[in-house]
Amino acid sequence: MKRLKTVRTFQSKFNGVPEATVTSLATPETVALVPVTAPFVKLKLLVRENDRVDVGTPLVQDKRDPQVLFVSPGVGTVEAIVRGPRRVVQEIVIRLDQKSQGAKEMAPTPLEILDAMPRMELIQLLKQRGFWPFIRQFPFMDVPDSQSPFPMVVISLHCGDPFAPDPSVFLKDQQASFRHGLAILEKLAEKVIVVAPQRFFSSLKLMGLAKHITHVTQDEYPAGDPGVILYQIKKNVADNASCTMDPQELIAMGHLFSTGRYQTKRYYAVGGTPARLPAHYHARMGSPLKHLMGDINQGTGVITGGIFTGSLTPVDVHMGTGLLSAIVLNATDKDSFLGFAWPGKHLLSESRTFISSLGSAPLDMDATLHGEERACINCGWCDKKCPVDLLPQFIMKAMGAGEMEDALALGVLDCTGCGLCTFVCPSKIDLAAIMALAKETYHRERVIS
Amino acid sequence: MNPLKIIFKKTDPYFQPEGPFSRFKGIYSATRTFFFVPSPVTKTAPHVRDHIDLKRFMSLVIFALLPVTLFGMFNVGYQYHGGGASVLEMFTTGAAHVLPIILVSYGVGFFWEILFATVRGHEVTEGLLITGLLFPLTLPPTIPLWQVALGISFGVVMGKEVFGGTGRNLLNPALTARAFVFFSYPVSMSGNAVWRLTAPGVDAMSGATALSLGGTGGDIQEMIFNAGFSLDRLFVGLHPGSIGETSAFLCFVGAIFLMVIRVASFRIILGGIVGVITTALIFRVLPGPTDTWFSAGPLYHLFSGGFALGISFMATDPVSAPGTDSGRWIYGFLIGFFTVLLRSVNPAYVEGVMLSILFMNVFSPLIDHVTLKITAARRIPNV
Repeated sequence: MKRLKTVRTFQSKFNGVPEATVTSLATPETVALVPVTAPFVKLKLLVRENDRVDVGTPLVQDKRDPQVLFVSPGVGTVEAIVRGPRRVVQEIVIRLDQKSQGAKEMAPTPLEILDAMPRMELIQLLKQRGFWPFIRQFPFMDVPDSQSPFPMVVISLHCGDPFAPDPSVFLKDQQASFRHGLAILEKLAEKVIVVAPQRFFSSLKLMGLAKHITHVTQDEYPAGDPGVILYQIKKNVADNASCTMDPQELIAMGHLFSTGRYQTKRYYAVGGTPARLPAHYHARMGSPLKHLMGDINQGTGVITGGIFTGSLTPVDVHMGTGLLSAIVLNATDKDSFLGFAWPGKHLLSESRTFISSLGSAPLDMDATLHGEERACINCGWCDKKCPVDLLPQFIMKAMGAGEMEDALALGVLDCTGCGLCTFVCPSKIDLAAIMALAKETYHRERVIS
Repeated sequence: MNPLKIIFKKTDPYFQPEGPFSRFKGIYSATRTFFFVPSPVTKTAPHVRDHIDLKRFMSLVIFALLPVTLFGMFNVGYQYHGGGASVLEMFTTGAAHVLPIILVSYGVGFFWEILFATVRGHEVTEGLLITGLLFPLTLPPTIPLWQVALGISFGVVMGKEVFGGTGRNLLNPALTARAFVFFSYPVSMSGNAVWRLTAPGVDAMSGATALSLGGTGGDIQEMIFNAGFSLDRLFVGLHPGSIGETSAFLCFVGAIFLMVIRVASFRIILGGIVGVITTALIFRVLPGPTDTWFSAGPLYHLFSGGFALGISFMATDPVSAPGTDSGRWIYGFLIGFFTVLLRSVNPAYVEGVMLSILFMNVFSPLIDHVTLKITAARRIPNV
C-alpha cells in the first residue's frame, strides 16, 4: 500500500453532510433507468410502453455498438418513456410488480470459470448483463473500447466529496462480491488500483479489505477522484486510456457473477436539508427522488451526483443511473445588501477574503452564484485549486479563441471535471463547463466520427 | 423589506428593454447591484459557488488603499503647513485638496465607463473602482483638475475600454493615465515645485523629492541624508511627493494585507523587492558614479519614490500581469530591475517605477507564452 502524493484540495466544510447510519427504504412504486448519465451514448429503445420487463431485460442499446445494453432495474411494466430535448430518452419508468418474488436467476460464474474464460467472452457477458456502460474510459469517460486491454482500472472507494456514500457503509457484508468484482476487472486490465482515503482505511482494514487497497490518499475532495489518482500514478502516454468504475457498481457486478442474481438496491447518501436526517438510505436503484428524501421545502433544489459535479434536478424525476448522492440545497434567486462589504462570518469561501476563513466550522451553502459573471481578470485562483496542475484560465482563453491545439497542449484532456476552478472563480466563469465542452468537442470530432 | 429595495423594485420596469429608459440600463443595474449584490440560481455544475465575487475582490484592494489615501491627505496638509498646525487642520487642508482630485477621477472615469457600457450593452464593471483611486494617488497635489480629467479619460478609454473593458486591457489603466499626463504636461508632473502644495501668494518652497537629488559630486547616500531624507523619514512618508507614494510603510502594510488574503500575488511583490535589492546591490558594488542614484544602495531605492506604491498596487493588477506563477516571479523581478536601472542611468525620468511597470505590462503576454510552453512540456502528453 502506497501513499499518494499531496494534491490541491477543497478545504472548507459544508453543513448537512450525511451521517454513516443506514436506513432501509421500502420498495417504491416505480423505478427508472436514467441512461443520460452516460455521455456520448446514442440511445436506441428496445422496449415500448406497457411491455413487461424483468430485472436485467435490455431496455436500450447504444447505436454505436448494439451489443452495449442498458438493462432494467426492476420487474414490472414499462409505464412511461420520458423524452427530453431533441427526443433524447431521459427516463424509462417501470411500475414495479409488487408481488413478484424477484428476477429469475442465471448461472453464476465462480472464480474458477472466470479464470478460464477468454477476455472477449467475459466482455460479451458484461455487455449482455448491462455492466459494460458502468465501466468508463479516460479521458472522455465514454463506454470503454473493448479491443485492447485497459492499461489500468482505477477504483476509488470515495472521491472525497463529503456528500458521497461512505465506503464503510456500502462495503459492509459485501466483501465477497467486491472481491469477485475485482477479479473480473483483473481479467480486463493489466493492473487494478484500489484507492481509499486515509480516514476510511482503519474501518476497511477491520472488514478485511486492507490487502486489496493499493493506495491511500488525502481525505479532502478531489484527492480521491479517479482522474486525479490516474494523473498521479500514470507513467506514460498509454496509461491515459485507463478505466474506472464506481465501487457500488463493482460490487453489484461481482454479486451478479458470484450468485447469479442482480443486486437492485444501492446505498444512497442524502445530504443538505432534506425532510429526513442527512444519512445513507438503502433503496432501489433508480428510485424516485421524492422516495429517497421525502418532500422538500419550497425554494430548495436537489443536486444529484456530487456536490461539485452533480446537476440541479427537478424533484419529480428518478435518480440518475449510476448517481449515488443527492443534496438538498436552497435554490432561489437572492441578493445581499452591500454584499461586498460585510465581514462574512458565515459565508463559505475558499478564499481568504471573509472572516469565516479564520475558522474551520462547517457552513451552510446554497445553489446560487453569489455575484455576477465578469471577464476573467487573470487572478489565477483557478489554477491554485486544480488537482491536476492545469491552468484553467489559459485553456478557457484558448477555447474562446477556437485554438483546440493550444488547449490540448495545455493538458485539457487531463481535466477530471472536479469543478473547483469554477467554484473559486471570482468572475463566476464556468471554467469546468468550458473544459468539459472542449473535451467533448474533441472526442466527437476525432474519436467517434 | 429594505426601503431601497422597494424603490428599485418600482423603478425596475422603466429600465427593462421595453421600458422608456432602457438605454440607461447600464447605470441603473450598476447602481442596483452596488446596493444589492445579485445571487441568481446557478445554471451549470458546480451548483455551489464561492461567496467571493469581483465586487468584493476589488473592494478589498480599495480597503488596502484607504490608509495610503488618508495618509496622503494628511501629508499634503503637513507639507502645506510645514508641520506647524494641528493634526486635524493638516488633514482637512490636505483632504480639501486631494478629495476634488479623487472625485474628478471617479466622476470622469465613471462617465466613460458608463458610456461604453451603455453603448455596448454590457455591465459596468468594478475595475474602475481601483483605477479611479490609484490614479490620483500617483499625481502631485498641485495637479490642475482638468489634467486629472484628461488623464483618467485617456487611461479609461485608451488604456482599457478600447480593448474591451476590465479584464481585457493590456496595460494598467491607472498608469496609462499617469503616463499620458506625465508626457503631455511635464510642467505639472516634474521638477521641484509641484510636489508640495503652497498657499497662494507664497513663493513656492523647494519641494524636491529624494529622487531628484544627485549629480553634484560627493556620495549620494550622504547627499540624500543631508537633504533631510533619512531612511526612517522616507519610510514613514512625511516628505513631498505624489499624493499616495510617500509612505513606503503604509504601502507595504497594504501589500502584506493583500498578500495574506491572496488578492495580490506575493510572487510579484516579493519578486519586485528582490529585483530592486539585487540590482541596487550590484550597482553599488560596480564601479560607477557615486554621486547619483546608481550607488544609492537597496534601502534608499526601496523606500523612495513610487516603488512601494507601484509594486504593491499597480504591478499586482492581475489583468496586466502574467498568469503563470513562474511568470509572476520574472515579471516582479524585472520591474524591480528596471526601476533601479531607470533611476540610475536616466536622470531625465527620475521616477522609473511607472515606466518599468508599463514596460513589463507589454511583455507579460510574452512571459506567459514562454512559461506556458515550459509548463506544458513537463506534462505527460494526453492527446
